[in-house]
Amino acid sequence: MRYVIIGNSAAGVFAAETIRSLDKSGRIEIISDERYPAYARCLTSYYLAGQMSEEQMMIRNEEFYANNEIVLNTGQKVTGIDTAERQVRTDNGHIYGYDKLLIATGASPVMPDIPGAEMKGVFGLRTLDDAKGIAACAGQGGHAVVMGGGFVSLKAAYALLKAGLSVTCIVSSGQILSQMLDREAARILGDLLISHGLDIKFHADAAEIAGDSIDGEMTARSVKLTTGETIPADVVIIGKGVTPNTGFLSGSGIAVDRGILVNEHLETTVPDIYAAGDAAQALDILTGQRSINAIWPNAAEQGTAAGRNMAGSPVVYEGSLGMNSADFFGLSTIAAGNPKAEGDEYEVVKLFPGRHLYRRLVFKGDNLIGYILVGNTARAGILTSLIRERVPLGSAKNELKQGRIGQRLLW
Amino acid sequence: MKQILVKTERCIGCKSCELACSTVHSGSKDFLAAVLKRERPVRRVTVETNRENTVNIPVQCRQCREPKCVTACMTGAMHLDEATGLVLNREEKCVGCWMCVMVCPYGVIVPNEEDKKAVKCDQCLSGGHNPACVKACPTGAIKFIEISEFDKNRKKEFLTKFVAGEEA
Amino acid sequence: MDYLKKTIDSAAGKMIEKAAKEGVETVWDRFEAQQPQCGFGLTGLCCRHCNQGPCRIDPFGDGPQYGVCGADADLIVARNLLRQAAAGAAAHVDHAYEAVETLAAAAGGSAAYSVKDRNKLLAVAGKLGIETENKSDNDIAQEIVGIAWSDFGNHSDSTMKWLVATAPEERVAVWRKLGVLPRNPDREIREALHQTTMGMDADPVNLILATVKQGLVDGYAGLHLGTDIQDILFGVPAPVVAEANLGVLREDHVNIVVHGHEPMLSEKIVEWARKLSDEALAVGAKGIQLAGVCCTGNEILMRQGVAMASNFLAQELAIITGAVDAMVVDVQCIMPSLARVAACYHTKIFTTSPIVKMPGAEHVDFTLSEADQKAEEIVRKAIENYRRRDKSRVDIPDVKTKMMAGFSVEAIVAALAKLDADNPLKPLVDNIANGNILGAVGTVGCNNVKVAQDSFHVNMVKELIQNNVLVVTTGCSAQALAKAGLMTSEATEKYAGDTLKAVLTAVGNAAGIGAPLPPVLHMGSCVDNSRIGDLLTALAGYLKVSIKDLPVAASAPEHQHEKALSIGTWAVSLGLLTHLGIVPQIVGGKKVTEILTGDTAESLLGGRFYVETDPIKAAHGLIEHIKSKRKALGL
Repeated sequence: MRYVIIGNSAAGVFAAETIRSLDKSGRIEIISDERYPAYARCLTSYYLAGQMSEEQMMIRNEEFYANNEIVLNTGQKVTGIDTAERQVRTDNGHIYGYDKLLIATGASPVMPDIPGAEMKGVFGLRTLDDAKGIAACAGQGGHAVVMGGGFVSLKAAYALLKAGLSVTCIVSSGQILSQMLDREAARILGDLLISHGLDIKFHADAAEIAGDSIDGEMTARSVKLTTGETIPADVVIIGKGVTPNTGFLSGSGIAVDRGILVNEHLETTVPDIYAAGDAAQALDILTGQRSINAIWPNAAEQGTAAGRNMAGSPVVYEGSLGMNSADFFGLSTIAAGNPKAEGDEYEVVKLFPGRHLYRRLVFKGDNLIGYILVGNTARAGILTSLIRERVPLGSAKNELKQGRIGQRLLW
Repeated sequence: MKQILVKTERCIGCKSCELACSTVHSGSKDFLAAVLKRERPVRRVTVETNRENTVNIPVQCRQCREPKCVTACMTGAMHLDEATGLVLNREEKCVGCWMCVMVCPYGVIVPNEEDKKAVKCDQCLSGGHNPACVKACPTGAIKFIEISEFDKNRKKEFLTKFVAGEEA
Repeated sequence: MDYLKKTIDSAAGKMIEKAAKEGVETVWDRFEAQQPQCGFGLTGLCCRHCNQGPCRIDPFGDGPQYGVCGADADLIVARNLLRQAAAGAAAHVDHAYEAVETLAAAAGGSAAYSVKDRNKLLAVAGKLGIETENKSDNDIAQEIVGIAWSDFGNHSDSTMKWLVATAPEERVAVWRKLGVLPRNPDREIREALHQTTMGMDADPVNLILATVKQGLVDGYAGLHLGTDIQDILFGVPAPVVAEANLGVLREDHVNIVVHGHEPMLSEKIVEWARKLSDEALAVGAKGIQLAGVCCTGNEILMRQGVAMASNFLAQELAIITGAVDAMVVDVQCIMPSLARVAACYHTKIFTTSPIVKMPGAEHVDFTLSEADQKAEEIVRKAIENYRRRDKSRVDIPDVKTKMMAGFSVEAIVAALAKLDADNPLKPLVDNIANGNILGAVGTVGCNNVKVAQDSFHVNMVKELIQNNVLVVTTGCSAQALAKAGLMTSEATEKYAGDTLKAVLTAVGNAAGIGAPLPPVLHMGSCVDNSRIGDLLTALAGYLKVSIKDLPVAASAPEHQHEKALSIGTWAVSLGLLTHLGIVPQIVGGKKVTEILTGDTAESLLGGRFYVETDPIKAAHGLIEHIKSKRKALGL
C-alpha cells in the first residue's frame, strides 16, 4: 500500500502516525513545501516572543520519521493531482504514485489588496520563516503594525509586545476577537492589552503601506490608515484571515467549496483521496453543516480519523467544533461552540464573578451550545464536552447558569 | 496496569486526598510547612459530589486510551506514554496555551497560572508510582489496583451481601 | 528500642512493647490509625459552628475561600481559637471554683477540710485588702471566699478583683488600654461562646483580643485563684524528695494510681490510703503504694511527697503493668480509653466527677459533704481488688528516678533568704545581672502523641541548662523532666553550664542540702503556672521593670490541651515570648498567625507566640530572645 500525504503539520503528521500504527508495512510519504520537520505553526508567536527556540517548536523530531519509516520530502510544492493515474506532481518535477492520498495542505494568510503590501517587511504570521523574517526586521524598541484584530493578529501583537516592541493593532470593527468573543469578553481582554501598552486603532483600516528603498528593495516604513493617520512601522504583520490552500486542485475533479469538501469518513468527492485540517471543509458538530474550524485540535483529530480510514479501519469522524484558547498576560480565555449566538431560540447567560472574570453561556433548549470563559478557565473542557456530546442538562442547567462548573454536570 | 479507582460508598468527602496531592506537589513536601510558607501547590484531584450529595468521587485524570488532550497539544508536550499507559505532560515543552484544558472532558487538567504549565495526575509516577491520594484516604475509598481485581472484589462483595440477603 | 519514635522513657517503652505483645491498644496505635489527620482541622480551617456547615477553606487557594456564611480563613481560625481558649479557661476556672467551694466548706466547719496554711491565708487576705486582725482563720477564709464569689457574681463593668489584687499594675494598665480586662469569669466565657456563634463577630482582630481576655480569665480566675485557695487548704509546697516513673509501683503492694487535676479528692485518697494501709495485709499485700499521673499527681507530690507514676501519654501504660489495682480519676486529660485498657487487666477505674463518667468504669460520686466516706470507699475497693490481680501478667518496669520537687515561690524565696535574709531576691537578680544565670525559661504543658513522649521537653531543657538558662517547670513537662533525672543535684553537675552550676551549688549549700539545687525547679501542677507568674511579678517588681523586659521566656513544648492555649495566651499577655513545639491549629489564617507570632502581639502585649518544632532550634531561639532582653536591660 502506498500512502501519500501532502502537508507536514498537525493533520498530516497525526495521519501518518495513525496509519503506521495500523499498517506496519505500507509505504508512507509526506510532501512538504517547507524545509523543517513537523513544527507547530501556532507556536510561531511564542518563537517571536522569545519564549521558545526553534527546536522546541518541533512537534516531532527527525527520528520520528526514521522510527516510523515515514519518508519526508521537504522543500517541494505540489502542483497537481492526476486522479486517474493516481499520481501527485510537485514543482521540482517529482511524481509520487499513491493508493491512498491525504490532502492536508492547510491554509495561507489572506494578503490585503493595498499599495505596498508586497514590500519587504510585510508578513503574514503563519510559518517559521515568517517569524524569522519578522524578528530580523524589528527588535526591541522597534515599531510594529499589526493589521487585524483576530486571534492570529493578537497573538502576534502580544508576542511583539513581550519582545519589547511598540505595537499598534488596526482593527476594522469596534472590537477585537470578534469571531471568538462577545463585546464584554473582548473589552476585558482589550483593556488588559491596552494597559500593557498595546495601541489599538478601532474602526480603522490600512489604506497604504509606505516605504523606502533599502539596498534596492522597497522596505516598509509606515502604514497609512483610512482615517488619515500615519503610523511608523519597522515591520507590518497581516492578520486578515486565512484561505485554504486548494489552488492546485483546480481541474482535478475534487470538489472544493470554501475548503475541500469531505464526507463523514473525511473522503473527498474522489475515492481514496482524503482531506483533513485547515484545508478541509468537514462536518461541524453544532450546525450539522460542513465548515472549517481551523484550529490545531480539530486538524489533529481529522488527521487521526483520516489515517484510520486510509489504513482500512473505517471510522466516522464525529465532526469538528469551533473553539479557541488564548492567554494574554496571564489572563486565560477560552471560547467554544457558538458562543456569540443571539436570538429568541437561544438563552444567553452572562456572569461577571469578579475583576477580569467573565462567563457567557449560551443554551439552546436543554443543551449548552456555546461558552466564553475569561479568567479562571479550569475545567473548561467539561463545558466543551457538554456541547460536543449534546448532553441534556436537566437540573444541571440551573447550576451551570450560576457559573458552577463541575464534573457532575456530566453525571 | 493499576488504576486509581474509587469505592464511592466509602468516600466521605473529607478532601484529605486533595490536601495530600497539594502537599506532594509542594516545595516543602510537608503539609504544615507548605501552609506556613504560604505555598500555592497545584493539586491534581478534586472531590466531586452529586447534586443530592449522596455520592462523592475524587476525580483525577482517567488516563484515557484516546486522549483528547494529546491531539489538542500543539507542542507535543502532552503524550501517551507507551511504557506506563499514562498520559503525561513534558513540562519543558508546555507553553500554557490551555488547549488541553479546553478539550479535557473530565476537567482534570489544571492550568497552573503561575508556571504557565498544564498540570495533571501522573499517579505520582515520579514519586515511585505510589499515589499520595490513595495513601491519604482515611476510609480506603481510593484504591490503586488492577481494574480486574477491583472488579472481582466488587462482585464478591455484592455476592456476599446477596447470599446474606442484604441485597435483593 | 523500637519504641523510641513513641517515647524516650524506657519504662513507657517497655510497657508499649508489653501492650503490643498482649494486643492492648494504646494512644500510639490510635494515633497511627488516625493518619492522615485532616489538613483542614490541622490548620484550623474547618468550621462547625452552624448547621449549614461543616465548611472548610482551602489553604492552598484553589478551592473555596469563604464558608457558607461568608467567613474567610482568618475569621474561621480566629473563631476556633477563641472557642478553644474559652474551653481551656473554662476547665481551669471550673477547677478553681471547686477549690473555692472546698474552702467555703472548710470555713463553714466541714469535718473533711480545714485551713491548713495560716501564712498563705494571711498573705492572700492581705492582697485582697481583707482586715485580718482579731479574726479567726475560718472568718478570714469566709471573707476570701466572699471575694471569690463576688467575682463570679459581678454584674458590673468593674474588673475581676482577684486579677487586680494579684496581677502587676503595669500589666493591668496595658490590658485596660486594650479593653481586655475580664469582669466576671463566667460571663467572659459565656460571651466568648456567644461571640463565636454564627453571625456574630466578623473581625479576626477583635476575636484575638477576646482570646487575650480568655487568657486573663484563665490566669486569674483559674490558675491564680486555684493555687491560692489550694495552698490555703492543703499547704504551700516546700522542697520534698520523691521518686518518679512506673518503677514506683510495687509488685507486693496494693497500687492505687490517682489521675486528673484537682487535689480535693487526691488529698483525701492519700489520707485514707495511709489510714487503711494495714488492711492491705489482709488481702496478702504488704501495704498500699500510691502514685500520681498528670497534675493531681503533681499536687500530692508537691505537698505529700507521693511518688509520681508518669505523665499524660503513659496513663494507659500504668494499667498495662498489670499491677494497678485502682486508678482513681477526677477531671481533665483522662483518656476515654482507660476503661477499655483496664478491661484487659484486673484494674478498676473509679470516676468521681459528675462531669467525668466512663462506660466500663465504676462511678463513685465524690462530694465535699461525703469526701471522707467516698475516699474510704474507693481505697477499700482498691484493696479488695488486689485479690483479683493476675500475678503472671504483672510486669513493672524497673525504672525510676529520684527527684526533688516542691519549689513554690515561697520555697524558692526561703532558700534564697539563706544567702540574703533581708533581700532574698537580690542573690538571684545579681546572678542574672552578672550573667551567671543567663535567664530563665518556664516549660509547661502536656505530652502530645505527635512527638516522642518527653523528647521535646528533655532535649530542649538540656540545651537550655547547658547554656546557663535556669528552668522552672510545671505539669506534664515537670514530670517528663523528673523522669529524665533532671530534678536532682547530679543533673546540675552533669548538664548545667558552669556558671549556672556555681550558682545552684551556692544556693544548695546555703539551704543546707549539701549539694546543688537541681537545674530544673518543679513548681507544681498546671494551675501552678500562677507560681511562675508570681515569681516573674516579684522579679519585675524588685527590678522596677515590666515582666516583658525580663530575660525570660515560656515554652509549651508538647502541648495538646485547650488549657495550654489559654495558659499560653495568658503568658503572652504577661509579656512573654511563648514557644509552642507543636504547630497550633491556627496556621490556616495568615493574618491571625502573623498577629499572634509577630510584631503586632509583641507591640501590644510585649509577648508573642513562637512556633518551632525542633527542640534544639527552639532552645536557641529562646536563648537568643533572652540575650536580646539582656541587651535591652543593659546587661
